[in-house]
Amino acid sequence: MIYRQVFDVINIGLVVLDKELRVCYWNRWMTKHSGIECEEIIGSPLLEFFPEIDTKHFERSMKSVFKFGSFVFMSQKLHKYLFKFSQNISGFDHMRQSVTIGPIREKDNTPSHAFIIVQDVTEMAAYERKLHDMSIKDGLTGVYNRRYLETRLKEEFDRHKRYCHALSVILFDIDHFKSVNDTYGHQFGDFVLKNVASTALETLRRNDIMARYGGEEFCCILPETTLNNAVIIAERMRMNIESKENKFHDTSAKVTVSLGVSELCEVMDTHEALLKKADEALYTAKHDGRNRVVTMTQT
Amino acid sequence: METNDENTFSEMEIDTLQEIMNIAFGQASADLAEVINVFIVLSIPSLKLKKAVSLKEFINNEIGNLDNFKIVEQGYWGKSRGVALLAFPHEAELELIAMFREDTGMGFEAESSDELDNEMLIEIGNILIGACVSKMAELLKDMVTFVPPRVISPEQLSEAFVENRFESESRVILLKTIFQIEGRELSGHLFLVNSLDSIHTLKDALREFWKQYE
Amino acid sequence: MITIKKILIVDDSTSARFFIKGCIPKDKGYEFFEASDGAKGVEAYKQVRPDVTFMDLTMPVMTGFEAIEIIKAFDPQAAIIVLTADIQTKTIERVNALGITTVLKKPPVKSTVEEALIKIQGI
Repeated sequence: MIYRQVFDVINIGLVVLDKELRVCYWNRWMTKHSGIECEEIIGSPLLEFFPEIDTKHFERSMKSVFKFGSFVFMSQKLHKYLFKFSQNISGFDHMRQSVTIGPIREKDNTPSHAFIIVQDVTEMAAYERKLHDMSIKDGLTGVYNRRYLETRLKEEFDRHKRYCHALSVILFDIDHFKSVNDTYGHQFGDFVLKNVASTALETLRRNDIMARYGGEEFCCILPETTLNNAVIIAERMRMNIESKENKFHDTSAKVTVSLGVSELCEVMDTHEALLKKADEALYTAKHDGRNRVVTMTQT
Repeated sequence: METNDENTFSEMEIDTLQEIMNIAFGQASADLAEVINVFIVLSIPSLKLKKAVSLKEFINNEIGNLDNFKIVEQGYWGKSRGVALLAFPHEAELELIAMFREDTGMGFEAESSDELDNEMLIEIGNILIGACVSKMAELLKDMVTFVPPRVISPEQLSEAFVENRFESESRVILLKTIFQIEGRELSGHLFLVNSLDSIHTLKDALREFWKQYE
Repeated sequence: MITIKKILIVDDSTSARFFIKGCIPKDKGYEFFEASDGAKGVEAYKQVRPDVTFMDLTMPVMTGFEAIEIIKAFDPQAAIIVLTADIQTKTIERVNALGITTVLKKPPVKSTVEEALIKIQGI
């Protein structure tokens, strides 16, 4: 009885099931979040109240608890939650849960019941998501940062190379950005960077990845895209940026970009080779007078 | 059973431990087939006593190019403390994940696929390790509790890793088996590393086991 | 009806052989013979001509499967009890295919070992 009081005040969910998955114990925390009273659910099969839990994974988990006496750990990352409970932290539909399932044993050591411990980790998940965003995104423009780009480029490179799929890269740079900064000030410069980034992003498709690669240089990974199609997108990007008026307080100016485009080919061993080809093309675009798209030289 | 030196194992004790492991892993594979619908073949386990500090070197020698592996690590404790290390070569990892995904039909909201792959590996590791360790404990009339598993890279298997878990100069029991998924070119290595702090309890458990047959 | 006098135990583990012996009644005056792998088991079988043989499956040099095949070819009437840790359905099917009907799982238990012996004696 004393223990029961403890179980009812702790800030975690506690459920005990028998081998037929009937509820034998349901603490107050569970009542609070499910709206189901202890008297209502005790003696009933858990899955009758929560049909959505009846997955292959859950079945497997319970089997391994009863068969081996194993513990099952369900991370919020992979499963999000076991019990669909609502909560009010923005960005999450339901309470994120970290769940542990384990055996309760008879005197002869065989598991006769299972416990389920449910922890609300929504706040942690939100914090983690924020940290994660901060670690992969560029603070000023909101597009990905260079480190993330390099990881992804390597992954995409390896994958596309393995399956012989097309993969292209666009590297672009704002023309005469230094003089924009010198003429209108850094604040305006920052505004232009943000504007160019968002215009470029609007031109891209859902699965494309864009990152700020250097000061005023950006890089886009275009999965499943041939060189020809990448050039079409690059050209559209160039026109969209060129036609956009950058208005900030009482200052207004237009900028242009130079773009280099490359495509994954047989001879490239690493993602750096793919990037290098785009960089060479970008260099040619600058050299040939800027505000243009240049395709890599074929080898 | 004759046991003279209380601080080390006799040949007979090692032989018994090996036999118990053999039985435990045999039962584990049979039960696993029922739990995950996959036939897992566990090789005849081997057992060695080593200095804790030489753990990484030992594993490296056993499996070859360790850098090409991903490891699921899980701590457990019963009468003695131990850590299970499940090492998959990178190619096996991807296939294993694909296989389990088919089996569970779980939906994913992927932010980074690498991270989810790790979570998936952790679940697979948890099942395999749980089955093997629990069966072993059952035969020795022990009850084990598990710590949530996690994925570590081979570099993390450093001296610090060992020091955090064992006295580095102390000896540990190293149990090893190779598991193979039937019908697939898929195998990995399972190491169970047990501290010898409680060698006496283990010796007692072995004696108990023998008593059934005396 | 067979009267058991000689029992051969084939297992690579010394303790496993000890465990089997521990499960066999001690008051029947059985004579025990042991072998530590399949090849030695076959050799011992030919020499000893045991009334019943306990056979492990996973052993070095020669597996139990191979040993059973050779023994059965040599003596189709050989009474063999397989005692194994590998209790997957597939393994048991494979053993049955060799003409062995008694498969016990490890660790051996007195009552089941005695039962198996009674069955062989046809009592």
